[in-house]
Amino acid sequence: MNTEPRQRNNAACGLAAILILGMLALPYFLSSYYLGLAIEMMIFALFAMSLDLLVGYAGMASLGHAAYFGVAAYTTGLLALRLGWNVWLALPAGVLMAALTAALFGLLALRTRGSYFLMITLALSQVAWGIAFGWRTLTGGDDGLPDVPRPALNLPLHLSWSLAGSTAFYYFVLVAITVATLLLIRIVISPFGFALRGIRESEARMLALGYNVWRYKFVAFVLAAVFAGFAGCLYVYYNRFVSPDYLHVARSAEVLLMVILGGAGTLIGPAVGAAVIVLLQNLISAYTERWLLILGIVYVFVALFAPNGLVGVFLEYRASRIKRHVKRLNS
Amino acid sequence: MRHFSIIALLALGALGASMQPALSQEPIKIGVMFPLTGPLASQGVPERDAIKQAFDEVHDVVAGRKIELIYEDSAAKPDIGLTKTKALVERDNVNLLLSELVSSVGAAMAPYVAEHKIPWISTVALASLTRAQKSPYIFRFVPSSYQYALVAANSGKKLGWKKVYFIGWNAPPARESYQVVKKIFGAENVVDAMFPNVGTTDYAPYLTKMDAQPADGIFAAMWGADAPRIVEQWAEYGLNKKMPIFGIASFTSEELLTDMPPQAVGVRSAYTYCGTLDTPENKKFVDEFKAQHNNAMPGSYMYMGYMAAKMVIAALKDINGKVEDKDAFIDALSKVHVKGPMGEASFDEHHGMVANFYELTVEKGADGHLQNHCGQLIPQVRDPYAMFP
Amino acid sequence: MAFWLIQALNGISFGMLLFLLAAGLSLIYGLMKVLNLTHGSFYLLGGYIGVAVVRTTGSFVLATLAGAFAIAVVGVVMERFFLRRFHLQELPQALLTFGFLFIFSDLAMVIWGSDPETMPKPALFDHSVQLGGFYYPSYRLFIIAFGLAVAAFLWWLQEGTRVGAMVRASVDNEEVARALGINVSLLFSLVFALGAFLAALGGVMGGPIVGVYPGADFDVLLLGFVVVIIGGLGSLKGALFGGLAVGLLDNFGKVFFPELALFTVFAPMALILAWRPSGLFGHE
Repeated sequence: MNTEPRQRNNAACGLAAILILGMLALPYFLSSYYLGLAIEMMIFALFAMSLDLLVGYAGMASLGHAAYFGVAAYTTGLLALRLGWNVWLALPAGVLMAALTAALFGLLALRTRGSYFLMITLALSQVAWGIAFGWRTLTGGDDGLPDVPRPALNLPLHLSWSLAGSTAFYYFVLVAITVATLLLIRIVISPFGFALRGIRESEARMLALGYNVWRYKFVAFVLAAVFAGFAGCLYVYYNRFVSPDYLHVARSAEVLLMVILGGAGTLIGPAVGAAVIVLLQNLISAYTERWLLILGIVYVFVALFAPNGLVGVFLEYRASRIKRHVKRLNS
Repeated sequence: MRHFSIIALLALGALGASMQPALSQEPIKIGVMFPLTGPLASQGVPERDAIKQAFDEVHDVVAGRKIELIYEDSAAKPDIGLTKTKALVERDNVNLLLSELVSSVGAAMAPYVAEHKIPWISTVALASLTRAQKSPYIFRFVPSSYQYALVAANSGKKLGWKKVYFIGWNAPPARESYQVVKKIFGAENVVDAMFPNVGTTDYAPYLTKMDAQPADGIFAAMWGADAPRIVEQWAEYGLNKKMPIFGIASFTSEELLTDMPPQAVGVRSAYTYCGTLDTPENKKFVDEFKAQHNNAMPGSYMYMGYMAAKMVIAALKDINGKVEDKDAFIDALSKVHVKGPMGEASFDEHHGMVANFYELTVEKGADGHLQNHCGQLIPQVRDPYAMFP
Repeated sequence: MAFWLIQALNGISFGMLLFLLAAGLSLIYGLMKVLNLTHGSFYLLGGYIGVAVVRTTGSFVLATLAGAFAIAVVGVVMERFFLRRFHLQELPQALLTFGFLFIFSDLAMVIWGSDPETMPKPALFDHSVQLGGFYYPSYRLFIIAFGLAVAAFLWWLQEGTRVGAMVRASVDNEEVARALGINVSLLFSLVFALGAFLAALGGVMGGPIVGVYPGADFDVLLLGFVVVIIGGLGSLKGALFGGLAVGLLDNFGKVFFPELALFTVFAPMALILAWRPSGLFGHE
């Protein structure tokens, strides 16, 4: 019994290695359009996983997560477009801005919980949206900022690697998302991650155990914004464009649905949810105008038949198999 | 990390579609993207239909080559529109785009289209498409905001208006229109300029503000559902008895008239299309459109979509269908002159629209429905590049 | 002076529409702890049905009743067959109600098309009255009176009737209420139906002012949220004061800071929340 987790870990590592190899080979199989779709899926997967840290692990359902995605995207976009900052400066600046915004919003939002938390995060994100929409001289208002340049990676020793081509940019995003995902996994399995789960189950008990619950929640809130901001920065470089829609409540709702659809509290679930929704939006709409209807039906069906998300179905199936296995061993 | 496998599987499944072999005489593919869902679908859907109508007239064959229209929905959102444009160009390999009317979507598309050298005939009224964002591949078959606002402002001046209000969307077309009105009337004669957001439902605060200090008239630059709504509330607040409205651009377009109250009679505008104009070309266009749309009249965007398609057909004929030679195609398109429902139309040296305008006044038709009365013809209006660079 | 009065009336009449919408949202949350994202659809569908009925029968009263009752039935079906299974499960509830928001939004597009519809005003109120040199639409005055009447009725229902007492008991402690023999399950359906009814009523009554158009469902849902955030979830008083506050903020925001429309609603809301995290009249 003791060796089982390790074996499973080895299997997971092996699978991950195969996956990475597959992902590395993807540009040799896919046309630029599908490569673009793969990039979009990866970015939204990271965005959804960042929200999962809040929703799934800390038990704080936010309906304003797009604010950090958008604030980072605007910051990076503006710095790259207006001041010509390179990616090494503009991208961290975007992430930093997202973290600062979250720190400020967190001070207000963390005074509440449950549905009130949901609504205050929504309200705060709408304030950010209002600024992006109304401050025309800075943000271009409704029309957004077109023509953000694709970056070039200026490496030491005067090496420069342009990311203008879709294959080069794909690899850039692949590396970035892989690193971010590994970091997220590290956070989730750290003592900090387990403390968040504890808070999700019972704040009172964690308080009694001597945890500074507020501080844990605050750090989780800012960390989630950091990863969301990172996704936003990648998205603005990918789309070469940013508009107020990036931080609209519709996007916040969309990412929350990705998390729930895939299965909150699993990291992998939200990534799957993100991939499914991006695919549905892009592939179905080529065949029918009724894609909203189809998306709605998918949501209702998942809620009815897989309330723990798509990955939840898989996990329940596995759990029931293990249970049967154990029963057989016992008898 | 396991999610990558799912992405890879799904992506591989989609692979088949992306690897179709190239044929020598394959159809000419045209990407047609409009807002087909959401509030602006009321203009996007019929404009798409009008484009289809133009190709139906030639039975989808031009210079011996089949025409294939590929539809997409931009949902009036710039990032969705950009993704869908990429799909049309990189997945479907369209030869050209006949797309879009929403300014924010157009602004997002322009750099991409220029970079990928895809001929794009748009009905996006962004002045920048033939100015800052100009490209040899971009054509604009819709008047620019400066172009239509100048006609409107001059017509207002002709009515003897001295002091005016300006109210328009908080978006570039209306803001640029305001620049024109300010220039023609003088900044001191614009009592107030107000820019409510797109989709504002309640205009009462703005109207009450105007009521407090009357002027000779109101220039209104908002479209879609917002135009009938402001007219409704303008009448409700009794302003119809105090200050007339001059609508900028497609304010009194036929598809919007069906939602306007009876008090809209007398509202003026000056634009590219007048549904009641008595020419054989217009009669054919209107009859066919009505037959397919439950007897609804076509409006200005439907006319422009229809005409843009006709210009494309004419250019394709001129180059004998060899659309793969992009330079030849854009050269031919920039030179075509097509006689359509409103008379002749063409493109100027920056690929902007040159076409006839009419002064319009809303009137009650014989059947009791509202319609446009075609007033003074303003022939072959050009974009005023020199005046508004 | 008259200018200020008119502007205040503008804000109050819009606020009354928001009250109709938010009252249902708030009632449903108060009893069942469901944040009903489909509420915007109830408004939109109510409005469309109202327009259709008034076109065929010409009767505004009939349109109001048809729209509101039809949507109340839709509400009962949703509660009985879908939401009931996820009592107190926040995430599946969100997925479900959002799914229905999308479905209804697209169905409305299929049935009624994408053209904006304007609800004609009832003949009785289809004129303007003179108020200190200004014309003012009498329909807006009617909306204000109607909103106040609904508020009074709901207050009576909650405080003065047996059903209201049962609802209050169930809000306080559902288990005890069940033990006392109150049919909580029936109450859930009733309150959900009432909430849907009020939202649809808002859609029909608001039709002549804001119109019925694709996307209205999302727009009003957002405003409804703002109202209940300011007023506090589960509180009728909160919905009324929240509605009036948002109506007035929106109106005077447009008058003084036309460029900042919407921002003048959201920024005060964030401030109120920072001061009172559960809204002006809410309690956690």
